[in-house]
Order: sequence, then structure tokens, then C-alpha cells
Amino acid sequence: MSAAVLDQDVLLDVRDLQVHFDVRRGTVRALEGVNFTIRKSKTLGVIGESGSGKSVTARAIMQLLAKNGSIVSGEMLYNRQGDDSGDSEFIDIAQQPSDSQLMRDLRGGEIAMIFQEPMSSLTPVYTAGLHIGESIQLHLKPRQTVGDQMAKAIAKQNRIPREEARQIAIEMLDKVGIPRPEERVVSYPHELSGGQRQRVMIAIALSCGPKLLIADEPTTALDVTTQAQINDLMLDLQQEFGMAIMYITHDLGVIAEMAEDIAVMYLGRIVEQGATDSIFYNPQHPYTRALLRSIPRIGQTEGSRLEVIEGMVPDPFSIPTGCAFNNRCPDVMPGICDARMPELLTAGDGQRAACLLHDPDTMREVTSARVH
Amino acid sequence: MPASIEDPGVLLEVRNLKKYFPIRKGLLRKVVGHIKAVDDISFEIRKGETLGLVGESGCGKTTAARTAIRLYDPTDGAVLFRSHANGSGEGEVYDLAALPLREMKPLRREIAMVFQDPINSLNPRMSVSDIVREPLQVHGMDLGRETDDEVQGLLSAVGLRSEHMERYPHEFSGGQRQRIGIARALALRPSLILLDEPVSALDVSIQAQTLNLLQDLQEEFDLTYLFVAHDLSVVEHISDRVAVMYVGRMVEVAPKRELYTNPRHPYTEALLSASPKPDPRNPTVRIPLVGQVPDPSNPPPGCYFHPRCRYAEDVCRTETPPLVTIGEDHASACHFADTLELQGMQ
Repeated sequence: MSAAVLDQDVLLDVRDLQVHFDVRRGTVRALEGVNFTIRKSKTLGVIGESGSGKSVTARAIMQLLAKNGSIVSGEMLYNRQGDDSGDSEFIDIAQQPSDSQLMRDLRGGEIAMIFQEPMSSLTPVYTAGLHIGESIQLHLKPRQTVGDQMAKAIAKQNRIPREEARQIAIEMLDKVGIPRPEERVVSYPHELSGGQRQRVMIAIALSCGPKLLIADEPTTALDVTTQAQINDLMLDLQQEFGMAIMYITHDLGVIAEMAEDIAVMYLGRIVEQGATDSIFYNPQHPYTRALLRSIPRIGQTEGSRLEVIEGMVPDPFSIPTGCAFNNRCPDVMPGICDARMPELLTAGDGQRAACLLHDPDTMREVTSARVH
Repeated sequence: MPASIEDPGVLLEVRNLKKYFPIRKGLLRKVVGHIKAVDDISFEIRKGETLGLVGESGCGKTTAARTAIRLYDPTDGAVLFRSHANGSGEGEVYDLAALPLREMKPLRREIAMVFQDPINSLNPRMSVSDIVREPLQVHGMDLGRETDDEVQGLLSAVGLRSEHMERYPHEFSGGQRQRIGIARALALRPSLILLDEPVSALDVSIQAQTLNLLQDLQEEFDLTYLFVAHDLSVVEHISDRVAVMYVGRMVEVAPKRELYTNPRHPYTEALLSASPKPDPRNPTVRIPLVGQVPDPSNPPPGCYFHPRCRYAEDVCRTETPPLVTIGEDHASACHFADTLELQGMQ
């Protein structure tokens, strides 16, 4: 199997992942062949607008898709470390049923997830109406103390007695910067601020020592100063625990601060992936370039207009043929971009871009057609 | 303050505005305290400018803006608005805070509002053309056929096509819905528009389109904007001047370049340093803020920011610093505004 050639540095390698949802109007092809790599102890930032498939990707990795969703094809090769020996093996998460013992073990120990702080939402980010499996705690329950909920979650994750879990809870609260954690464990969620609740969620997620933390818009509902605190905390904890982070956001400022690598998504595909510096300073896909030009930057936009991406993200039932971005692309080649599907190919500073402008075969044809 | 309503170039002047919400408890709903959502703020908006109002959630920026256009009745203070309804020239000044509601109605034509959430602020049972037409009907300005053209003109001004007119809000995307909300706000040809987080629920690419549209309309219809938002880069892009609020008080006001590069209040400095910068090669140097925003029903004595301020001294714990002019068009409410060397954004 191809897994053998993977580098030991790789924690998760997703290949050609396709996820479909059955809805009344038909089939939503939410992911149409997603490819990316998460390296051990590094942060992959996943950026995209609503409907791009960022959150679906995260849920597919956890095997927690809604009931009407299914992984149609593709591989998710996860590098699992053996218990004592340094050996590791790649297992394909895509082949594991959601309720299998292996997936339960992974979710309870190696892969953890945090979400947008749900109690103080500023922006409605979840539009897809996805249902999350019971095994994952989406938010804190209002009628139980923080300590009880943490102890319960930690005891379940780590299979340890509740009392021991409570001690870990207090330690973790201290680690995530909650003052006087012994007093805090008896408070109820509404007594905490939005930032503190998100710290509690991070504490629960990290208590099992995950190798991969999936953070889906974790600071979107928070104020900018709280956002800075939470993001700094995640970077500190990454230093301490060495976990990899998959950081999903729509905010280009946050991604620049958090990620070593970036994957840009558009309509269920990765259109570009590479080192953060290359994505920001030498973007190769027209969508990435347009996205970077369309955001206001402090000190650089005086009196000027923003460059816009024309049109809007099409709805999932009218995705254009060929390259899905062709109807909004400033560099579109008519007759080519709407007829062929671009593949992720090396471009620029070693990143990969899915654009026919970087496809040598296509471009050779274009040039020879021009000559004749 | 640098300018007041006596200056014909000033459209709105807010003087010592207060808005307290009572906290009621017990069987008799006795008032046991007050949340001082807006606590003695003063500012002015000049004709044709965009004043950005920033601050964290709960700082009172939305309450301040809504009280300033009398969507809420102020607890105290004056809101002086220059009306141009009766002919041209310098217009007439009214105190919106003191006017009986009956006399407010004609003035409401001159002030409009655009909300954050474009789906909940549009009636789902009304077609787009009815939504845009409604303000005209309310003010007895619906003239049948002529108004049809007017509505069509407004929709095309915000970039919607005529075939959209008979559709309903749910048929539109978030960005298009926000355009409908903007067209409705323009219907009565207002001079002042309060924009409350108008782009924060929109995707990045739609946000840019909407910001450009707002700038175009400002020029075309000679509009003045009060722009409330928490995103510092959006506010910097669209505003001429920016005001910063903290726990119901205004802590700093200045022209945008000045405020962002040369902040003179420690809270502004911390806020700017927390704003993530889309540039991996030049990250901002973060100034850590300890603790949390105080409870507005029980704020600390002295300067409300002192428990989190790294420059705080004894005087800050006892005396409330007033908002004073410290440079050309620049005001700060800090005891040490003149001596501190604060870090701005480059």
C-alpha cells in the first residue's frame, strides 16, 4: 500500500477525499477530492469561505459526519504511534466505521476537537445544519458545574476514575490560564466569560494528550483581545505538548499568526496548499490571490477601494463544470477552464496549486493553438 | 471637543449622553442598580464623514449609537441633530433627546439604520420591492407608479437586478440580503446612516463588495456614516475618524491614521496589538491584557481600565480621567496621555 512510502514526519495524509450528503434536492458533493498533509507538531491552517467544506473535512477526519453524509472515496492515512515501541503504522481512517472501537479510541485519545464558542456567538458560521455525534461534547451543559463536566469527559477519555479525573481537570484549568482553578471547578458555565469557556473546552480537549487538535473557528465568536489570548495559549500549549493543530478559520489575519502551512479551500476542493509564507507572498492560485487582495489591511487602504472577487460562491447544486472557480476567475481561459478539472500540481515556491495555468500540458496546447 | 453643532459642517453632536438600564429584582421589580451601558459620552459627526465606533462586545458601542439616533430614550444628555428637511442652507438644529416622539417622526426620514444580521432584519413574508417601499409608505410618500421607479432605482443602486424585485429574502445570499437592507435604508434619502456591524456576518469576498458599495453610495447620495464594528481593519478602511469605547465610556477619538499609528490611550494600544495582521513576516508585538472587561453594573473606581492597564498608577485607581483634547483633533481619556509612549501599528 502507498502508506509505506509516507514520511514519518507526516501525521495525517488525506488523499482524494470525497464526501457526499443526501438531501431532499439531491446529492450535495461537499468534498470533491480533497488532498492535504498535516505534519507532526505543526499547524495546518485551513481557510475558505462558507460552503468551501472546511468543517466537513474536520468532521470526516473524526468520522462524525451527519447521518445523511458519507465518505464516498479517498484515504485518510493517520500515523499511529505504537504504545511502547517507537513503531508506528499508518491506518486509513476512511475505512473505519464511525462507531468502531478504533475510532472511539482515536477520538478519545489521539484526535481532539474544539469548536466555535457556542454561548456568545457573534457570527453564524454553521450553516450546513450538521449534527454531531453524541460521543463528542460540543458545548458545556448549563446545569452542571465546570468541574463535574470536565471530570466526566476526562474520565471517559482517559478511562480513569472520576476523582483522579477531577485532579487532572484542576491541573488543566491551571495550564490554560484560568485563575484559582480549585474555586473555578464548582462554578457553572454561565458564570464564566466566553474566553474562559473556550479555555475550559481546550483544557478538556488537551487532557488526553492528543496528537492532533482540530480547532474549528475556535475564536470566531470572541472579541479580538480574547481571541489573541486564546490563540497565544494554543501556541504555548503546542510547544508544551507537541500536538499538531488543524486550524480552521475564515480570518486571514489569524491564519498568518497561527499556521506553518495553509490549505485554501473552495467549493469542496483544496485549490492551493503550501508554506504560510509562500501562500501570503507568492500565491499561485487566482482564488488565493483574489482573497488576499480583497481584505482590508491596516495602513494600506487609505482612500482606495478594495479589489473584489466578482459574483458569489455558487450554491451546491449549480457548481460550474471544469474548475469550480472559472466563473469568478480573473484569469479564466474560456473553453479550457470550464471543460477540464485542474489537479494539484507543484507551482511557485514549492506549494501546490490546482489551476490549469500551472498545468504544463494544458498550457502547451494553449500556446500551440495560438501559434496556428 | 474640537467641533460643535454651532459649526454648520457638523451633522450630529452628542453631549454627555447617558443610557442606564435598570436592574430589577424581587417580587415588586424594585430597581436595585443600573447597568451604565453608555456613561457620559460626547462626540460629533461631521457632514459627509464616516465615524467608526469600535470596542469589544458589551462596551456599549451599539447602545451608544442607537441612543444617539433616539432608538433608545437617553437617560441624560443631548443629541443635537442638524436637519435639512425644510429647505437648504445650514438647516435647523434639534435636540433629539428632548423632542416629543410625535415631532421625532419627520426627522426619522433623515436618519436610517443598517443592521448586522440581514436575515433577521428583513420581513420574510414581504417581497424585496415591498421591503424597500415600506419606509416610503410609513411616511406617506408612496406615489404609486412613480414609487415603483424609485424602488427599482434604489435596487439597481445597490447592485440588484429588476428581476429580483418580486422575490423574497430567503431566496438571496447573505451579501444580497445586506444589499436589500441598504436599499431600504436609502429609501427616504437620509443624510445619516447608522451601520451596525454591517459586514461582520459576511464572507471575505462579499465583505469587500459590500464595503465598496457603501463607499460608492456615500459619494453618490452625500451620506454621513456612523459605522459600528469590532473589526479594526474594516473600520480603518472605511472611516475618516475612529472612536474607541470601553465599558460605556469613550476613551479615545482621532482621525484614523493618527489613532492607528499614534494611539494615546493604553486600551487602544492593547486593542491594536491584539488585532491579527495578515502578514506572516511582520506579526504585531502583542501587549498582553490581563483579566477581563469589568461588569458595567459594578465598574471599578477611577479609570475603568486601570485593573488591566500596565501603566496604571495611584491616581488611576481613584480619579476618573475625562476625555480631553491632546492634539489636533485627537482626544484621550487617560491621565498620562501626554507622557506615555505607546505602540501603534505601522
